Amino acid sequence: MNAKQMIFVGGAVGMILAFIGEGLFPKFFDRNEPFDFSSESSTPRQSSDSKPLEGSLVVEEGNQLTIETQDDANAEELVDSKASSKTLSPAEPKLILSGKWKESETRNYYQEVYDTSAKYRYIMKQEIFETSSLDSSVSNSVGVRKFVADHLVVKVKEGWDAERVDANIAEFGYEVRKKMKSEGLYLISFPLMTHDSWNKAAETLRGLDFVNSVVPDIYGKAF
Amino acid sequence: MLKVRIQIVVGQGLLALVCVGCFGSSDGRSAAELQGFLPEKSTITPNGVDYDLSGVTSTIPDDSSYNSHQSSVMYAVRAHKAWERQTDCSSTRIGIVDSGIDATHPDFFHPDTSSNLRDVSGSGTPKYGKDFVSSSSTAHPIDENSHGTHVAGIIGAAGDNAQGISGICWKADMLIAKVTDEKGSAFLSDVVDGMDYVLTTGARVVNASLGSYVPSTTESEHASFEDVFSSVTSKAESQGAIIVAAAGNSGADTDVNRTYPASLESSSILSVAANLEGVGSQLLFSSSNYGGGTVHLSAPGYGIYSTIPTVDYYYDEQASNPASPKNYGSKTGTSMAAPMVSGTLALMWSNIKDRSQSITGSNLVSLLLNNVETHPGALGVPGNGLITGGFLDVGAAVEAAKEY
Repeated sequence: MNAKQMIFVGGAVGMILAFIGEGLFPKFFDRNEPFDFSSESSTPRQSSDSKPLEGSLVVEEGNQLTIETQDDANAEELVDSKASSKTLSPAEPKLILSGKWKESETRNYYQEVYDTSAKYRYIMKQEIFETSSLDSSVSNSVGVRKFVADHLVVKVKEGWDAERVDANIAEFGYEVRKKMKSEGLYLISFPLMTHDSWNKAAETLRGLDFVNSVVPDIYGKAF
Repeated sequence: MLKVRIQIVVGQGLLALVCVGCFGSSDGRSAAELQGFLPEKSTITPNGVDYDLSGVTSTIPDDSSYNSHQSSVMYAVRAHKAWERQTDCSSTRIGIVDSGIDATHPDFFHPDTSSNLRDVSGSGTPKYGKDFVSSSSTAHPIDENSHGTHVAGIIGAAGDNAQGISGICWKADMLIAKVTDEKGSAFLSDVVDGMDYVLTTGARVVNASLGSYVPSTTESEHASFEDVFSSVTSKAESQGAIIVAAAGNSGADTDVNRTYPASLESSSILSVAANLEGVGSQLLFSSSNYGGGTVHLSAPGYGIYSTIPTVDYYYDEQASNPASPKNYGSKTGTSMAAPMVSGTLALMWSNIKDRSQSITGSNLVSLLLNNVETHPGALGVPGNGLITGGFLDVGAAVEAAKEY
């Protein structure tokens, strides 16, 4: 099954989960509360729902995820041949996946994946909720992070070239998207199946003995 | 070039500016006109701090908008004092990691047609750096946003070329890495690549007026980001380069909410906050990030006037201010403060008396930070919210470098 097929199947499963999820967690699927994509940090929100939420998934009606790629015959090694063509992506960010991920008793993440016109088109918008030690029934929003939803920045140990890295991550369905200019740095892509595919990939990669560090490819901005 | 000697008379809480001797005027401007170079606002001291600038002999560029749009800020950071020592930074390469450059802007060129931008093409059509946003490896770093062109102008708009504005460096050697798109957004991976590129290409100063905001950063996350940037920071340290990073505009404490690269702990990183103007108006800009353990100093970052791309689209952006000439405009943020520091470091490198000495980037940073203006509580944040507790003093820093 290739990445395109996997994502399509993921989408179908997602629609079922979305139906279940909407009943369980109506607050997070209220589309009357828009998630401003343009802002660096959102207005702090409060969540009265302190229950741990399992991962859930929403795929908007009629949406089928496809990954368009652009090959550049003249590209040098450092150029990402899989960067999205801007003309193939929507002009306005379109929500395609969402759900919640619980990291610990005190920290939860509400996550939305958008299809955008950016160079790497699938962007995660993740709002962090932390529970106060004084009142565990209320979670406060402490900020928003934005990063690429289908690849991670990975630093590997010295001596591991792209070919060797690729060979050792293929079994998970991952691949080297780009060798970065700095020694030992790679963008490693993974199938975008659910809103927390990135987290599962990060855990898997951190468990590999040739991997030093894994961070999201943060979508930052000029100040 | 115009030289004016200025004396400030202090009495009863009032300051008066007196031009006691004007000389070297090549364009026939009168002493009265020259007083306009010294805005009264820059001498008001709400915190009760007086500045003894008596006897300062200043060098003032002849750029057409300098008097009306820049003199206040440049005077506040004592750039005039620095320019007595050094105006030419062209012996120090400055890498600008941003949205690209409008290389057709006339204010990056001197009357003799020499440019303040580094051409890396070798031959043929000039190319002033590299585009990391495009899928094409041969793309020019064209500015589709205006931010990069504005930042470049603060560092190195051609000074004393009788038009527009003057950068901190009148002559410069600026190399461009385009990493942000037309919306001003950038991926961390492109920022790392862009910084690596300008360092590899010989930059001694790297300006990064951008960043990846990671609110509520955990220690393990911070360690991972440090590791990912370690190749770049190690390269900077080994070649004596300094990375000047904007602290960010979230109004947040970056000791808790990290912004990369500004929050990296390398000795090659300088994190810069934005204050309203400098001498006489030292409050931090309300949206500026701060951090007693992570942000080193502040520099003016409010309403900073500089170059913007020459295409018509950007002219419309300025329509609300019809008095503002085309190709120039004001921007606010730590993005505008960082290039003031970058330009200062390039002036310092260029003013070192004995260049055969092995001065490191850390040495230069120490000189800069030991010569900031410090006034307890002046920035309106406990402990001033900065490592040094002070704001940029270009004149003192360049003077200190001369003695090195």
